Amino acid sequence: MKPAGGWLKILCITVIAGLIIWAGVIIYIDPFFHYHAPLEKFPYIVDDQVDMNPGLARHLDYDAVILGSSMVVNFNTDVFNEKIGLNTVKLPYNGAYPKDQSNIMEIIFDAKKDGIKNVFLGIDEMNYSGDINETKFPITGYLYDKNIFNDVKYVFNKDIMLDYCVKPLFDRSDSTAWNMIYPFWWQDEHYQKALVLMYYEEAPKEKSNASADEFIEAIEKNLSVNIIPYIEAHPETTFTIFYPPYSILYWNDVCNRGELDIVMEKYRYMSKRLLAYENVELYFFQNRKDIICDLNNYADYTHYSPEICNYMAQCFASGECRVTEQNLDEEIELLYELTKDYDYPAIWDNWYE
Amino acid sequence: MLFNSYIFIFTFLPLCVLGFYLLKDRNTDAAKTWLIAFSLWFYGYFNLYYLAIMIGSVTVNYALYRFICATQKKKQILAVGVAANIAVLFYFKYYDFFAQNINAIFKSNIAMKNILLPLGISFFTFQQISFLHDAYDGQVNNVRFVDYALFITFFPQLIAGPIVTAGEMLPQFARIKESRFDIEKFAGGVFIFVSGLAKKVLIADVLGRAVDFGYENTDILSRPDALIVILFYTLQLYFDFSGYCDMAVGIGRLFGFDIAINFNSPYKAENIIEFWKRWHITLSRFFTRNIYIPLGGNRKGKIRMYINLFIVFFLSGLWHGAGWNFILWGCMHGVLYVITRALTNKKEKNEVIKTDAKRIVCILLTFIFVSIAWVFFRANDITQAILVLKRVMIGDMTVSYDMAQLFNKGEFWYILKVLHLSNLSFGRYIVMAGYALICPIMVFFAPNTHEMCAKMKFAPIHAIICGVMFVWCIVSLSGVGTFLYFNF
Repeated sequence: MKPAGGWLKILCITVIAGLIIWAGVIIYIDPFFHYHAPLEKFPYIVDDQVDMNPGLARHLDYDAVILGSSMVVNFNTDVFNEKIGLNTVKLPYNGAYPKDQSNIMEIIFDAKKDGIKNVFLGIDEMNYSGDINETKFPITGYLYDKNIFNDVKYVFNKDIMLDYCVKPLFDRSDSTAWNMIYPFWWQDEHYQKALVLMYYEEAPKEKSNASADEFIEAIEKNLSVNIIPYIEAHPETTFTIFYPPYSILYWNDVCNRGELDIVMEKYRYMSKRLLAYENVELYFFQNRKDIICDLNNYADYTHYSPEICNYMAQCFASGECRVTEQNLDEEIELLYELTKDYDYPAIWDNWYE
Repeated sequence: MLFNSYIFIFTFLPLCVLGFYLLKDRNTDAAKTWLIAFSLWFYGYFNLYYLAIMIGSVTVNYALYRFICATQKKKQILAVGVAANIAVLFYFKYYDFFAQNINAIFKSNIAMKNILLPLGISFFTFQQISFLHDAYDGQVNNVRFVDYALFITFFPQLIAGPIVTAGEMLPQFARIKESRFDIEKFAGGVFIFVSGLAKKVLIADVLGRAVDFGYENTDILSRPDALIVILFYTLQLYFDFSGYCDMAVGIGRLFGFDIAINFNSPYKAENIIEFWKRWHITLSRFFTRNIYIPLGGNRKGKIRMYINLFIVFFLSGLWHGAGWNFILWGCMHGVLYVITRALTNKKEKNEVIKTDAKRIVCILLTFIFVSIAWVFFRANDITQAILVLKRVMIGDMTVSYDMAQLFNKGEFWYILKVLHLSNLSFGRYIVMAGYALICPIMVFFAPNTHEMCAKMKFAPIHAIICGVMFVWCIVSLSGVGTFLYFNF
């Protein structure tokens, strides 16, 4: 053989061996859980919701899931296990749109053919008025579909190897506790009124000319396409749906924008639409004055502390704060009264209470 | 489709090469058609709308070629053909630019079209004009459609050149059946392709992090930041575009074809004239043959020659982009080219011999000029370019931590960690400084890819190094962008 032939042969062997080793390591560790459940002793870094949620949904062992936006990342799944007796996994998308929930529910119900007992779904009404196909972030196609050919982007990926296979071995302090995946960087000391007020930028006062009907049409489409089909298709599953308790500053913005009546109508419409199903339980935390008016529960104007999350989990177990068709209007009215007449300027009177 | 994509490396290229060699000895036309079909797939992968435009352009130009061959009114048909091609290019590339300027001057209100520029249209349009010109000169005869279509669409050179000529490619297509598989050429092609891929993935895109940062934060650049951004763009553009051309040449060799070399260590040039003999060689060749010589070249006196040269550079600027910054870039080169030409004409009479020191000074001055001109090429507009140059004079003397940090990713994070460099006060700047040192050494002192290939001894260790580099490039593909010259 000419030297060039031998050269090509060695090159081919090097390339093929290199790629096999590379892919082998990634498939074995599988940092995005695309092929199998997590290895028992590997210190995984679980910090990428868009890329990791599909794998977690497919390969973890669970009978309940927590879905929603950044409003649910502070939930400790151990509390769900202890209080409600459900082996729960958290699969949030920061800023989630309904399509994000639909994407992950599709995978969940496909992976768990026997169904699951409970879906805890946090709904942010402001994200339900957009396009039905809109996702907050572009999804990573090869991790969401079942096409094995596009997995080359996963198994021959330098960033995944270096950042998620090798780095955790160098620095185990970064590895994630399984009961608190996707945690916020905020620590206990960040949940205080002074900090919330320091970073809060009040919405300018304006008069809204919008009508609730414009929003409700979009909400109806989003619910019908992205949420309701899963509720209808899985009567064996309880859908525990809740509205996260944003702080009073959020309501200050709503009032400033002149949208308070519209938002109330949106809540009313969504709630009625969801309560029509027997396997839906609805929880309303928005009007809990003791929570939303105490800014020491918050790290910014909407995100609340792990303690509030624990309390909400207890409510899911006890039924406290649950609304039904019978008391829905009453609860919304309570929120309306609280937020309409609230003395907002007084919030700034004492930053350190 | 990009050369630096998984689908290209794992599916497209192996299938295309395999099919070509299976067909070439049985039926040459089938082999050519196979290459055309793959080229159309390659192009249509970006956008089917582009594909329709290209197919239309190829068909019409072939009809014009036949017409030129058949008629006595060759000149008129050539004029129509050139005008039609320029009109198409004008519509897709320059309509909004001219409309904007007319609106600004005459306070008119011509609507913008925001047309999606078909990829590589500047390249395949020029190639077809060149072909019509060759037909007019009688240099190409009896070219069948399958050969013409392959000549224009052949995927290695389709999107960003080199701008090959019919005289280079058609005889090679005609020899497909007789040519035997040359394993040395094939192996050399693999080496050139891998080198080009490494230039793009491991060098150009990393340098591009600082460049993008710099042009996104022009207002806050310090003096050293601005210098680094200017230097890194000069290097990025070379490694990016020459990397692409290396890949094109390498792929061509896999099929047994020699595609024209487009770069010959351009930053080793001692003056701007030499620079243009080494940078984007096939574009200079196109302008010389199709603009400079028809304008009269140097046959109508010195003044006319200088004007002709300046026109070439003005058009080159316009060809590169529909913006005043590109035109200014072309004019800067044109002015220096004319001045250098005038001075060297005088010097040649006096036979000046350069010492090494003088040569080094000349190379550095040429490099500095080219780097300054590239600022206008890269900037969004002339105002931004001037601002970047201003920052060299008026910024503070710190080096941006954020910019340096862009280099400390991936494998470099580990190098810093393992060597305990990240704890040093200057540790975070080491990788960026390494690029600032090693890349200029490569462009000034190292042999280029083609020189290395010519001296290749096919040693086993070389194969292993090349293989490891190839693997490293493949696993780096997920974070890699498109080629800079796709925009032109």
